Amino acid sequence: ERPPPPAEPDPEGPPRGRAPRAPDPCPRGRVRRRRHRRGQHPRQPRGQHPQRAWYDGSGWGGGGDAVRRGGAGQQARLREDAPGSFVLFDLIRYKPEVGDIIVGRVIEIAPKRWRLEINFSQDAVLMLSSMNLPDGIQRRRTAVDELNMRSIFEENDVVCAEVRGFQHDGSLHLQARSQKYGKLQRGQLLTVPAYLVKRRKLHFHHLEQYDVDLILGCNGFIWVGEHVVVREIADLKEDEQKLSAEAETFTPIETRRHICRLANAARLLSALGFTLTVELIIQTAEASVSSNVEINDMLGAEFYVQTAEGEAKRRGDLLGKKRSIQ
Amino acid sequence: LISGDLNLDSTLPSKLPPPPVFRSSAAPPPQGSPASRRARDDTMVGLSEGEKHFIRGGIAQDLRADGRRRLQFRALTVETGIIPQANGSARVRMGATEVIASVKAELGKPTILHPDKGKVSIYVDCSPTAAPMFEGRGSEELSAELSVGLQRCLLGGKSGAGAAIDLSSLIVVEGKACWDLYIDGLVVSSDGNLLDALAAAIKVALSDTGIPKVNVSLNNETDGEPEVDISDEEFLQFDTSGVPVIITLTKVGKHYIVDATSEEESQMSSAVSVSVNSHGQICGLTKRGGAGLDPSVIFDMISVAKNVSQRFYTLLESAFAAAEAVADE
Repeated sequence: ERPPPPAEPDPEGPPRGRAPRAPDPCPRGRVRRRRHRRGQHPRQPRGQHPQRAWYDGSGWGGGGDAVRRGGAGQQARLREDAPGSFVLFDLIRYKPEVGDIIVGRVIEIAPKRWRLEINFSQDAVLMLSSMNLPDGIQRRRTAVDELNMRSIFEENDVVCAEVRGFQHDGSLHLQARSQKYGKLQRGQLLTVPAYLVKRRKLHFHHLEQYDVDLILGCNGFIWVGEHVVVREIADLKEDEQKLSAEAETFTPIETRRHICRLANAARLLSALGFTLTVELIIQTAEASVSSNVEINDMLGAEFYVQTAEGEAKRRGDLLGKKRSIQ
Repeated sequence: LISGDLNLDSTLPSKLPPPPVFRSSAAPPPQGSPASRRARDDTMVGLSEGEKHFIRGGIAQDLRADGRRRLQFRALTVETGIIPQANGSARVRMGATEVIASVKAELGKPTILHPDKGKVSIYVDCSPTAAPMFEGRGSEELSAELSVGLQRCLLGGKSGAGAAIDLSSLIVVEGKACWDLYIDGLVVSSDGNLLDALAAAIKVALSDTGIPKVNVSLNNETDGEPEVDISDEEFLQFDTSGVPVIITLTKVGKHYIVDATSEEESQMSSAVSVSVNSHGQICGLTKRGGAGLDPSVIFDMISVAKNVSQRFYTLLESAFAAAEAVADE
């Protein structure tokens, strides 16, 4: 329930009759302004409201994180000054922002769009017009393009895309316009809690020493796969024919070892609850190599404890350095 | 390895290849890896062609998605006595698969055909927490399949001969009173290899079971029913050395894997579950999946399962010993 608005004492008593209307600021035409209803930001889509809400002491502050940044838009926190304040937010679910790089799985092909499942309450939409055509020409999408959507992405394909904006019902609008976005093949997809992946400048990581692509999706989907040389999409059709003649085109065993090690490192770190960064994942994988831990045993108790201890030591050192600087 | 696939036009070799060499993996009971799949509204999560290709390649190259070899098990954890009201219970975790088995004993009347034997019934249920499709009646087919598979392995023939548990030890008064054992399995979290996990859980639960001792007073037989006095103090433990475990071999492409995750199971052409006891004898055999298998392939799978079961027994025993140590503390 909303708290009642603060009562202002009115010496004249309640106003009688209709209040005089203010002069029209734009005499030529009426400018439609969205009413700023109390507690709701004008541009905030309604669908997002139940997800993030906190009682601000003066009303319900709507989830304005997507629009407000900086000091005012910090994450919901407990405010001890406002009595009766509490925080209600969902940690595990992904909290989308415009410009996020996410990894999703196609679940449905709808007219002129693909619906992707990302770790969110609603499915995201990738419009056909937001996707590069196979021949790379910028043109209007015709009915033939619409019929050939399946040749670009099929059901259950893993796709990397960028958040373009929100739709009116709160679901996400995606785009995959540049060459580095698109279908992900030859690798494995992991799921971790979304809050473990922080927003950084780079989410695509090409690890040259392993020849592996590592994509940390902000929604908690992590892709570890063979490195794909960014090239014309027309070549992908040859790849698909090659996939059918399987045995010759399996991922080479060395690359596969690196992929499995990195994937296990990511699984281990998410089980420990550490924030996932490329440096930490690579560091954990290299620690496992130097400690002669088998890839499979990386998920075992000994390496688990070893990693936790290593991280505790590192944080202790960091804290010690900070203190000595201060 | 020989493949029974029909689309191979090469001739089959004349003798079976030798069984593969195993690495010993004496892993201590560790944390299970977090589940990397998520449940959807209607079916299990799908996999893209690229991911399927990756899984098949991993199995062909002997390096699966989480780094295991083809014949290596996931981390196995065991807890006993988790259901205090039951006579025996156990929870088994293999990676992300988690199952609970409970054994309850009640006094009943033996059947007229076998007045000197007790009764055992096994039933498996899949909880909706494992997958949304298990809600309501969605899990009936899978539960029935698992129950029947376990019954075939553990209960022996119609006359009760060859059962894993000695049914004559369940008798209280011949012809009048016997113990009925109700073994219930619950699938809490499903990530493949349910049959193996359930069989292991039942074996551990039976080891944990204590049947109360009964004192029968024979003088009061006016109504034909002898008086039985169930003691709360003394308990009889079962001898579970004869209880077998089940090893499921999943065939993907030309190779077999043990302890498949649900992603790997989605790629299987067929799966053979072999129930082996500690003496190396086969107690039951189930084949799932539509693809046909050459008989030599089945024999090869049986011999591989026998070899693997030795390792599984040691794994299970060390996990059980660890669980007992924790329980004693």
